[in-house]
Amino acid sequence: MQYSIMGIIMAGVGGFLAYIFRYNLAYPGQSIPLFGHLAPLQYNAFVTCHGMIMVFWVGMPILLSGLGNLLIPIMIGTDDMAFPTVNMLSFWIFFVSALVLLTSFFVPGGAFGGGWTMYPPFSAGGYLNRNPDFFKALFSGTSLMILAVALEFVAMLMGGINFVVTTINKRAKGMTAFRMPIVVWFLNIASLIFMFSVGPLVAGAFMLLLDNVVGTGFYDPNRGGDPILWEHLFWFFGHPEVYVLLLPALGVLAEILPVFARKPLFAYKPIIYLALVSAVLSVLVWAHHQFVSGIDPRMATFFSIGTILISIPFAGIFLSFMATLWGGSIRMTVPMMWAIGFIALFLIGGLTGLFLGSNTFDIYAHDTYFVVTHFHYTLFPDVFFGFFAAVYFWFPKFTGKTLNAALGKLHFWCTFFFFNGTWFLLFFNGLHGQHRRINDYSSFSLINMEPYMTFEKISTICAILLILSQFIFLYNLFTSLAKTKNPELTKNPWHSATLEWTADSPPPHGNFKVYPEVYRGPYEYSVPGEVDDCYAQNVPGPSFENNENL
Amino acid sequence: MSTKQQHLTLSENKIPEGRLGLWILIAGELVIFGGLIMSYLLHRLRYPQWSEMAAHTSTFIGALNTVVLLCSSYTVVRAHEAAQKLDVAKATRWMTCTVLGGLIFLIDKSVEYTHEIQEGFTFTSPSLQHSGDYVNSLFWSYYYIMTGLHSLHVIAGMVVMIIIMVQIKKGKNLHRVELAGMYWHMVDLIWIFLFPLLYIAK
Amino acid sequence: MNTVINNNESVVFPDAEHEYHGHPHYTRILIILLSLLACSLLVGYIFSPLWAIVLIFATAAWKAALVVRNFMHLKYEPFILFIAIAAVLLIIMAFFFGVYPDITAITPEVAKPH
Repeated sequence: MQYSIMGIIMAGVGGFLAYIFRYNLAYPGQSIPLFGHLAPLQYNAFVTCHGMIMVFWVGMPILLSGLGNLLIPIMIGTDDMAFPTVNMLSFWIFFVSALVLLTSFFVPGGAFGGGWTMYPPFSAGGYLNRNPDFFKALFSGTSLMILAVALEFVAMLMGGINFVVTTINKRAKGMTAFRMPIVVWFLNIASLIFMFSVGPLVAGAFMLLLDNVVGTGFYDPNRGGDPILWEHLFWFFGHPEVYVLLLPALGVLAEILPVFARKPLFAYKPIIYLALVSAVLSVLVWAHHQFVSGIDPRMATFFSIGTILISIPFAGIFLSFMATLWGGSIRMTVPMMWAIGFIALFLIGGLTGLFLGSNTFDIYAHDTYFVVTHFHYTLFPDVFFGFFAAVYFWFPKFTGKTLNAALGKLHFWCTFFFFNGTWFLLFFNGLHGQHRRINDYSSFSLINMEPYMTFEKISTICAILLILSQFIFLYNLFTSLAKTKNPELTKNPWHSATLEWTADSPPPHGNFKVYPEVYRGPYEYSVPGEVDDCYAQNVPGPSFENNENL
Repeated sequence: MSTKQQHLTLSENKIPEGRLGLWILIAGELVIFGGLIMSYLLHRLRYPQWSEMAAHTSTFIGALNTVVLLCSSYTVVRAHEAAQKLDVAKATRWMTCTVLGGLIFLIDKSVEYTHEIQEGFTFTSPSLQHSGDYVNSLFWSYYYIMTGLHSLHVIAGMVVMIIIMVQIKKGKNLHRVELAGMYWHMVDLIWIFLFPLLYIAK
Repeated sequence: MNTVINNNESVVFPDAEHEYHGHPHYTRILIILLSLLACSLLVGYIFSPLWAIVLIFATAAWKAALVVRNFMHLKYEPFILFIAIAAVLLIIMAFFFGVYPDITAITPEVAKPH
């Protein structure tokens, strides 16, 4: 819960940064309302911090830690996480890391502006100064950002250990591995991917920090080091990271779609196996971010093939979701709209990813707005649509209050429309070669940007409206929180079969009065003759696990 | 929430929570050191001339440290064995041996560091850099970051060990002796690989 | 995966892990470890450098296996945990071979002193 609140606050910061530089892109050189004039270096710093914040301080806490801490214990039918103290420690470390990051805006020199990937030499003082002043270097924007990221990793590692141990050791009686809801599976797979891939980057960040504050040359090619090493260390974690973000959101979808289609989830076990395959593949594809870094072309082919291979498990998961919808009696509630919106938008993001995975095309499109648009079409639905779907779905559960459905629908349509307005047109700008790191094309007199400025302006206006439409959500949230609790209405409003709805709403300390016993899988809907048209996991009776629609 | 109720509802599993959590932590730590060791190895294979630099490390002190760590690993398993028989006094004695082992390791390490710094080999080795020998100064950067990070883990292990000694004196958390021991073995394990990489292979 | 988590039975959870696992003969393991260390120091004087390095790392791996299996009691744990630790090592190896052509196979031109 605290994670989600912290995530929303950081999303506000990230969104404000996005507003500033989007405005600058559409109206270069003009003064920005609520901010003032944006210097080029500030532009760089804001773009960098926007990326950092949205990935590490919004996506990770909301999707992994927030959902994990709320859902895992209650969905597997236990009272709390395995190590509550570790959990609290993890949150406070995360909190400190966010503070360290925000502090970096106010130190001399400003926040770090070399891109969220922190490639040396930008991130290592340019190697101009080989005997840096230790404390001055430590309190520079660069070092603070490295420290913040390192602290955040420590927090997430601790959280991840907690998730896996809780899931393995504290499941309710009868809750076998293949009776767990998909979201629990996916949160655990995501935690494992995170824990097994982040190590090299932690070591690498330590080396980068020393390059900054002590003046070593780990990444300095003039002194025998190699900047390519950092790129490998970073992307070895950085690519699995996108699956760390994607899997929990897909898990949320897997919970929501069967409930509102009133059908069992199509291909429950294959979905889990596909996710495991993608977890294995995810650590073998990292260098597709480095096709233009001068890596070995033979390896580039290998990574290209790996990248295209990894789309197979995800295509499989998405097709299973669509097959779940097929022939179901679909109820277009607010969470369902967000879930279907996710599928629609992620499709575009995923398909453009196939183009970029091929190294020949990537060399052309690298660092253009095509790439930027691609990853916004994957990460925005992933983080925000996934998050809002989860909020509208589980809000009654965890607060005992209800959100306004009409406002929720308005929020959905505004977000959906303005998101597409912001990003879709920029695919064309990207294909025409607009570079992502250039804040003002007017200094390049040979480039005629006029034809593209229209799209830029439409994009910026839509981005501002996109940010403004989030206030509908905040208004809805706060007015709903001000209501009195209604345990009857929020008991099981969606008629879901999973365990969390058998506890009171909001769940008391310890979640359950009597520990539930589980008799069947999580998605047994459309059972003829049952109350609520579904078989809750804790109702004694026969199980249909073995004649699933496989 | 009574304890009894919890016993009845927890899913049966062969690995107790603390051990399972620690195994995952150890896996995470192994990836961190793995990344560092692999970065070193990639550069070590790139620069054959690093063997001259590796000749400056003291194989004797390195070997002594290996012996010390192996023995302290041995004492901590004996402590665990004693703790399982609920013999607190014996467990504390064995754990004190382990902490002393860690202390000897750190003293050795600082003697070694002093010696190397006197020879002019530091994190950045300015003397090597002035003579243009950048590549060899990079060896010393790797040497210090690897052994330094490892020594930090030794210190962390010692602190954990002391905290748990205080706890078991009060007669509680006896099972944590094993957990502290496992962490210590991991530190030992990393040293087993650092020693040949930095000291013997020339 | 099934070996660890696919259990329907619920039993009393052990408080401390009394009789959770057996104890190997620790002193014997220590003696083997120390003699392996002595071997790894001696091979440098006996064999040619290439073989020495191979043998040194083989003994290091052997030592590590002994510590993990006996001192950390991996041999009493379920097989899945062994797979998890092996997966970690494989991930690190994957990193090594992915980066090898970009770092080791290339000798950069290092700057001259100024």
